[in-house]
Amino acid sequence: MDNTSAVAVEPFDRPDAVELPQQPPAAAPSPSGTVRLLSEEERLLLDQNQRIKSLNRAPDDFPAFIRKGECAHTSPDLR
Amino acid sequence: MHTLRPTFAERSPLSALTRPGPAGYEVRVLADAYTYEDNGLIYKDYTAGSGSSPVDGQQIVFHYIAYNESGGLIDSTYRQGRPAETRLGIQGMIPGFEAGVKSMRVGGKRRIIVPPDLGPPVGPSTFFSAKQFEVFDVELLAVKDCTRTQSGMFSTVSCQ
Repeated sequence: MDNTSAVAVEPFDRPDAVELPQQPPAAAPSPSGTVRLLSEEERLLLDQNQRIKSLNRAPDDFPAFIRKGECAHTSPDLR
Repeated sequence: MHTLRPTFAERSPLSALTRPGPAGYEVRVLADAYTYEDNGLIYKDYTAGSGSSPVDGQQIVFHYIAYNESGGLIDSTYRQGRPAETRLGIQGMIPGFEAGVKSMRVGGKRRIIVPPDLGPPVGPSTFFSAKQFEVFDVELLAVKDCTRTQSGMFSTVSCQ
């Protein structure tokens, strides 16, 4: 039985529930990472991720993931 | 006609990280104000905590909430009603989780994003079916020192 909805889970990013550190660590992208703007396809994927996160009631500050899977076309007309 | 609504990325400048990998799980992570480590681990401290960080051989007492990439709840010790306890350095935890906890301090609260490379094993005989990022909200409650005692042919580890 799934009793998830009956349980109160307190995520850390509720402003009234957390005590922020005085000097939060600065974001330092890894040298192996790249910073660039999103393509239109990535924006659609991000939208989908955001939509599912809101359905899952993810915390407000939850990171976003853009997963690029492979698309298997069964017909050349199928887009 | 489909109209794109403003996305999170358009509303705020974000640092994005692209993790190269085999086809099927190349993933971009959009996480602002997080610390990115060279081994791929990403984390953000919400409460710094105090004291020294735990080391191998010590036992840690912690609460956690585990999420998948979609923010879906996988598991939570808050839901179970009691914190988890485990020793460090016995390879009993997800590698990325253990690496993220080792630099925490007692009382600290941290969100750890574990990449697939540092994640749990996947496959038919495991709980996880695919390479995924996992997100953990961890609250480190206590660190205990452990000693091994030998009694005849039995040996036990006690932590306090």
